[in-house]
Amino acid sequence: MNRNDLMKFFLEEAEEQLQTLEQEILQMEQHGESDEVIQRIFRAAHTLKGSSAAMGFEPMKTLTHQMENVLDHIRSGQMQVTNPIINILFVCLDRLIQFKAQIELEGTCSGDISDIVHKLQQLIEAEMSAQQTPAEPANLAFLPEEHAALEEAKSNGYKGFILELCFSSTCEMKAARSLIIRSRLEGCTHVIGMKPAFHEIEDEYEGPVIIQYLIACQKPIKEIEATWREITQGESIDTINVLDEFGAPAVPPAISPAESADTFIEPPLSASPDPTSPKAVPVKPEKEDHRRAASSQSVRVDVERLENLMNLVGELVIDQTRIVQVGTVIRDLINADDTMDEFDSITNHISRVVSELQESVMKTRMLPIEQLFNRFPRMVRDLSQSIGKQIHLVIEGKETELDRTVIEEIGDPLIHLIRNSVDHGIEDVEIRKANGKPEAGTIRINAVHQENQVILTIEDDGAGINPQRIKQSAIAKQLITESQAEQMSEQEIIHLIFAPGFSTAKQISDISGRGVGMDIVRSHIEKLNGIIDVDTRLNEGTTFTIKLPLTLAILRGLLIKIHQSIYALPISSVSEIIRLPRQDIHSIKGQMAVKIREQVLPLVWIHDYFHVPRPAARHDDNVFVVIVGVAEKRLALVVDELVGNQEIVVKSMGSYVGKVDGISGATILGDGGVALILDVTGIFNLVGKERSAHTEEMIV
Amino acid sequence: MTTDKLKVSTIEQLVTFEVEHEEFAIPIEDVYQIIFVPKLMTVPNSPEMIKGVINLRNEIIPVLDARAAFGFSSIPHARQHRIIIIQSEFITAGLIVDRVIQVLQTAPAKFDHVPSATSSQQNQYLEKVYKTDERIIMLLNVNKMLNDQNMNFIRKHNYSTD
Repeated sequence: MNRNDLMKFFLEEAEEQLQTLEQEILQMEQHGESDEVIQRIFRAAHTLKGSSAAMGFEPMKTLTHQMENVLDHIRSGQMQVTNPIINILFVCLDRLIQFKAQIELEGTCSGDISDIVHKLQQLIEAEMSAQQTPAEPANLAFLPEEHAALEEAKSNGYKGFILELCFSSTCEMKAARSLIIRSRLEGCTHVIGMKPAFHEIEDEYEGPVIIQYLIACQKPIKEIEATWREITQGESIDTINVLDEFGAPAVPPAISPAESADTFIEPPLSASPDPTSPKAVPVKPEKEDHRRAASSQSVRVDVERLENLMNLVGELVIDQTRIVQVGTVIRDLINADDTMDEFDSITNHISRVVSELQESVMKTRMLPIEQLFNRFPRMVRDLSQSIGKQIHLVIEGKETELDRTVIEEIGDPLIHLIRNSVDHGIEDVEIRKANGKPEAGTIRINAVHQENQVILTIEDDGAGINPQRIKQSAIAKQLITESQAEQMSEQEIIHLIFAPGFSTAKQISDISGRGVGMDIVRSHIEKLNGIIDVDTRLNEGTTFTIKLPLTLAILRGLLIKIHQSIYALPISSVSEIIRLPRQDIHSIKGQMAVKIREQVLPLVWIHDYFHVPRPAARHDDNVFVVIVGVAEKRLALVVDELVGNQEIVVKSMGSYVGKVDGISGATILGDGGVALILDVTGIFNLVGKERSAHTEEMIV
Repeated sequence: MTTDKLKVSTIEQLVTFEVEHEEFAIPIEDVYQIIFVPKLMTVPNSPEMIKGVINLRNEIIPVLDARAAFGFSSIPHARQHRIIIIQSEFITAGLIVDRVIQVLQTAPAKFDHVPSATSSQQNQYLEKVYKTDERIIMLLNVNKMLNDQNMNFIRKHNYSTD
């Protein structure tokens, strides 16, 4: 591994550990200290210390070392977790994040950390002088309930045993190992208890550690002994013992029954991994990474490689459709024979393999949305503190998976929406009290899968959006005229918040209210082929709902022809295809419409918007109409011809062409030609624009 | 000015082409490929300068009309028309020209500034002029052409959503 690879690895690891730190510190702040949380924080800091030391990032190492010191004191019970401690831990975290960013940019890390280090040391000193008495050593007896469980087992004919082992002083990760052994034990017998408990085992303690497991078992002592030996094989263990339930050696030829369980005993039967010199020669930990390997069988892969893989699969999908197409042409040219049949079966097979490959690669790109959601608690905490609101953040559906590019793109809009909820949504404490609401506002973020989409919701129990204020503000900003406003429904008015240049914030605050915002959120989401909707009730709260496709790269498309050119419509937005006589197209107040199963739908000749001629009347005077939909809206599109449906690989037209109204991208067809992908939301907008221009003319 | 000189000294070969009987050129290192004109997919509602998009080795690239870029009126497709695939730092695009003439070896001394008399529409993408005894060849600044148009379009787009 060269330095570059090392650096990459370091940065990836650091990112992970920093995230863990942030989550766990937040956890500690909200739910108070618990041994597991402190252990996790400690471990993250420890890992960072190790890797930064290895890379030679001195300030990072020193800082994590000092954090470790403080955490160690907390862990051993010498210090209590207080607000100042949490705050300084956050300060440390921020500094570490800065260091990481600096390393990423410059490859080195420098900076003065003496201020933080000083504060950390002060904390320790203050605490130490406050309580001189060191914590009691961990209670080494089994818990009463464990004894009770044993008594119950005994009444069922089980016998109690204590299995004892002693980790050698050189053994690493004693706590984790003790757990591994416990789980192995659980595989063959009933484990009642373990002492010292997992969180009481100190990884850093440099000396032999004795662990005892209390088990209930019906097997003969010989068998237990053999199993115990087998289980502990290969670990860095000095000695093992089988004792009876009272801690006395259970095997008859025991050395001295007088010795207590807490003392180190080595009966002749006990097997040591290295009998010649059990203490002097440490047994190499063969299963160093056992814990990690057991928890998940995974490999770190560079994102770029995945991206590349996806592109290659995309090419394959294109070529596969082309092979099928060429096959059809060849079939027409030559008479069917065996070779041709074979060709067909090969094409079929390739198609199957390619689609499976595509699915698999797609899955590798899926990530749980957790890593994005995990950024929010800290953000909300900082924001709410800075403006003095109390906010309770609930996050649900963390495990929901979606394409990593979608996750990347959706981050900013979500942050914006949450900031908005904190700033505009949740009211000040006094107002909330006056309205009989709980003092702390609740923001609920949720992600859930629904068919081929992911639904994200951001819900707050705040003031809601006041349509009157929106209306006034929109008129004041000349986004709409007063007469227009009169004709708009409440829902339409609320939707004005997505209009460019709209913001109702009374003053520009640090958090939001720069007059951009919701329109950027909307355009971001539309770029992802997603939809955003808002539902709001005065004094009850606001819910933003975002619907996103699972993946952006490949989708099923309906190919249609409009004036000699082929376009693709994402099948997900097509609700129905019908053929109807031209005379069924009616005109209602200048707007063309069709009636389908008692429902009147606006009808659009997309030709007009694309400035191409409408098709000449067919001999049977029918037209093909594709009903497309976004959310609850439906629209009937007239097309010249239906070409077929196939997997299409979405390609961008590049920044040069940029965003074109009604077009979301392009794809390559079986014959090598290009088809543009119609953007249904965009078409709705095009049509809407046209119509509002119409009404404006009429009003004027 | 100093960068100007430097650039000149590095130009050794030019791809020259004809638009409306005038000769233009692009430094060969900005040219990726020259292809026949395939079937173009027109992009509705796009600026006039964008003729459409094509599939070049499974990538979608825009094709610009040199005639529109230089302010000439468009003409129907002819057999000798070609698309020069040009590359700027970030963008690959095609440029439809009336005909490709040759690859020209240059002598540094024959470069000159663009005469101020040329129309401003042409002027904005021209970098300098290469003069031989019987020819005057105008050099295109590919970066400027691709990025500038890009900016224009973004501006236009922002405006249109307002």
